[in-house]
Amino acid sequence: MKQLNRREFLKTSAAATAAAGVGVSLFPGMAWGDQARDGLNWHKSVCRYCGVGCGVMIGTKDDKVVAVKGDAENTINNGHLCVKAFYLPKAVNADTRLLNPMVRKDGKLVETSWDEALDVVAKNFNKIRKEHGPDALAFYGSGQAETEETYMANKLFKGCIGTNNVEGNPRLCMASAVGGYLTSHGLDEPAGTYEDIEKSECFMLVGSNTAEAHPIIFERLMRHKHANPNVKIVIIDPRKTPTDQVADLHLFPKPGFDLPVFNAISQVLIAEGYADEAFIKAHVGFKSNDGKLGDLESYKKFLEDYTPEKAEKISGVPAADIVKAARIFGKSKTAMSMWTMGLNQRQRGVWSNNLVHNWHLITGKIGVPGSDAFSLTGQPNACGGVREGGGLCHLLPGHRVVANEQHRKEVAEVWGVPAANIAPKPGKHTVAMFGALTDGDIKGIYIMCTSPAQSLPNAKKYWKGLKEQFVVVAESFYPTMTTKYADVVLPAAFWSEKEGVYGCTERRSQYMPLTVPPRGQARWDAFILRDIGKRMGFEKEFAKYETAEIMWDEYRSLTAGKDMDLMGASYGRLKKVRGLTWPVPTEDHPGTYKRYTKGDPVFDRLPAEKKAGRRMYFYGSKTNDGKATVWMRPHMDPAEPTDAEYPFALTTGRILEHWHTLTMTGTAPQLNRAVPKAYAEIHPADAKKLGIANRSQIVLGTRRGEMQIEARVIDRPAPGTIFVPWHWEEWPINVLCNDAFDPGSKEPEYKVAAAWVRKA
Amino acid sequence: MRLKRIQFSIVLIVLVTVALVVSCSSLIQTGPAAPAVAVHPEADFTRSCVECHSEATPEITAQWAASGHGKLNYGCYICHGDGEAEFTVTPATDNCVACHSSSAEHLEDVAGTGCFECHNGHSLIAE
Repeated sequence: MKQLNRREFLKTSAAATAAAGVGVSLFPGMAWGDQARDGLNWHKSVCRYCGVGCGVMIGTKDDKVVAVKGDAENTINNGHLCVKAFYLPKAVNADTRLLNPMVRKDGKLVETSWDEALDVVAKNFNKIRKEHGPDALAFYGSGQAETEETYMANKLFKGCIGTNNVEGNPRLCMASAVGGYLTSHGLDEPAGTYEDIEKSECFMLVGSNTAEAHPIIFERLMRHKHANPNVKIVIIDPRKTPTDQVADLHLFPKPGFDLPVFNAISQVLIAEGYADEAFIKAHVGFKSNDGKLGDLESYKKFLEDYTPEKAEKISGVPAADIVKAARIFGKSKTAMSMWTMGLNQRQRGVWSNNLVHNWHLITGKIGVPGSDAFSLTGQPNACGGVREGGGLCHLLPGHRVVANEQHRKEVAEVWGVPAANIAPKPGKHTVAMFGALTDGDIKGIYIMCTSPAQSLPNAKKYWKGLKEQFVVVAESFYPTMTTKYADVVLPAAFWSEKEGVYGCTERRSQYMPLTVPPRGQARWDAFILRDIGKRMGFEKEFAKYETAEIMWDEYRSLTAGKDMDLMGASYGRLKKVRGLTWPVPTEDHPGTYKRYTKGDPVFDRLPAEKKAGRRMYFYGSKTNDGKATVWMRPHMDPAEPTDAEYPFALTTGRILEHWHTLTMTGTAPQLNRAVPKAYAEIHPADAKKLGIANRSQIVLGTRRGEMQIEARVIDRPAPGTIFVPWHWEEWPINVLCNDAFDPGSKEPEYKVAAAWVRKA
Repeated sequence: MRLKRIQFSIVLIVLVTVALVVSCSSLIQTGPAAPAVAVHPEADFTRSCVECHSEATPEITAQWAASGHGKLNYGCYICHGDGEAEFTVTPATDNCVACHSSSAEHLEDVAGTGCFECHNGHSLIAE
């Protein structure tokens, strides 16, 4: 056979396809008959979906996004894509894109000019501010917004308007992980990176359906285990999921009753000699639940109350399995724990996180290749834009907090505003913010790139506030459940139509280019916020932001010398490389694989005497001794334990094919075909008791309402548990979820609600 | 049900054959031929592909389930379309390369003209 070069091959295959002409387009976003790939421009970018941060190449032609493919040079995904990313061009080109500004007149949203729309926003916000004070206004953003966009919102609301009522949907997914890192390690975000995956012998997947929520990470896990059959994978989750294909052991705790299991694993680790006492002595401090200092002996005493047998009684997990899990972790030379919403979306989310961190701290399985306590992030820029960028009510950019006077001064100086503009008291966290909107204490809100009317827990409770107050929604898609309540709707440029930076789970910041002009009249969110600021009277404060690069450079100046130093991550450099993992203090610094140890520039700068006799130094430690903290967290029931009236535990989550509120994945017929509607998974034993047949209609109820939905009788959820994916507006399951929240992280307990079920 | 399955299989075989013949003949053509449009047999489109095909084509579904795509739960739609708005019998190589861009070099190495020259369409095992 003749040897074909790549160009010939591609041309041949394109011709073959055109001739065959049997349906599926070469490129998911392309129209029929427009399949020639010659002449496409390819742009290095980042996936729009989850927090993994996969590299994608965007193919454009004639100012249109027509294709996407995996970026083979990006080490996160090595050219692979999951099913959602494959169909991204369909979202860009969807008929549901919002193309024009709209203002509500006589009860109806009508198209208008940008000039009028921005004026309406500015005048109403100024009126509310004048009549009711700055705290009558609020901003609610997104972990999908770019860092530059969140940065502009922060400056407008915290620095100019003067309110810390700045929140974002990462409060609903990652806040407990933040709380866990801050209290256990002293600083937010993981010590390691994805590079640990292929170096690890053991994985503890806790409250994580990795196969569906983070498919490319799962693929790496699967390949790693396939190549190294001795690698062990333990899953702790109330539900069997596709992730179980790689599991060696699965522990099924009752939803909300897993804390004793985590403590019991620690108890076995110590009792059976897997603890690294030398590591503990040099690197670890102990605290009781009320914050009092303890030691290894008091920790052992605390754990006496958490034997595997006692944990079995509370959680339902067999004691023998708890011991097995602990031995797998303890015997492995290296171990990675990975978790997501199953730990975070809990009334005791921070405690749950702490207890997983404990395993690594007492065994020294951290700070070395292949070992880490690694939280998986749900959204593409929850870490970069919101956690690092300070897009929550208590934060300021660069891992700073509003309560710290020095931090306020530093930020105010860079923003060019008086330090007094930034209030020292944290604003209202998400649940409180929408509560205040409903109570009328907040009278105007700007919602960007998210749909809280569908996504909030106990969502219906907050619709009143959205209906009654002045609501601005900046969105790329229309309609959403939230735009129904909007007074002004602003069309936002979508992924590929704007440049900016996303920072993913592993501390990696990656640049995304503008590849095509925004569709219709859509504009970049950061420019919309800038222009509203100017119209509100902050002309001088927003005069200089002519480009995304100016915003990024100003933001990264706030990271100089910080634990999350991005001074070496200029646009010029980010455009060439596949992202940089901070700290990256200079243009010639390669980025940091492991924090708190040799090779981390912050660690390397520490005086030698501090590092003497230790391989790690947790430099964010609140006790100023460089030690991480093992917390003695007791068990606490979920806010709504099951009872005779509500005998089932309702839990919700994502599926592989869909994303959040379907604005993007709902544009791909293929993904809609794969999972056309919502369903409630129920265990066959429960279904039998209730006389429920597969695919029959059931009614599901909690203390907040009820919903009719199709039953899927399947042995995935443990008996007594019901699972419903949350994506569909027609089945807005979050309406039934509990809005009780963690007192530390303020993250709501989506994962456990007491429920009843009956045949429809 | 059995009759329905046989009818489905016959339609599928015909479609595959037509597509392959047209596809292969195109390799020696100098210009594109008129497109032959494939139509998915009538089905209950309120169900997912896999749900229906585990009854209609259980052997193929089992092959898929054991494959890399099956393990990742990347369903029928990723190669064949949704069956209504878009449908193909033999997916284009470019579709494969979009998600497997790191395999482009491999394709050159084996001098293949399409992934399915070597890889079974559903088990994806190289034969």
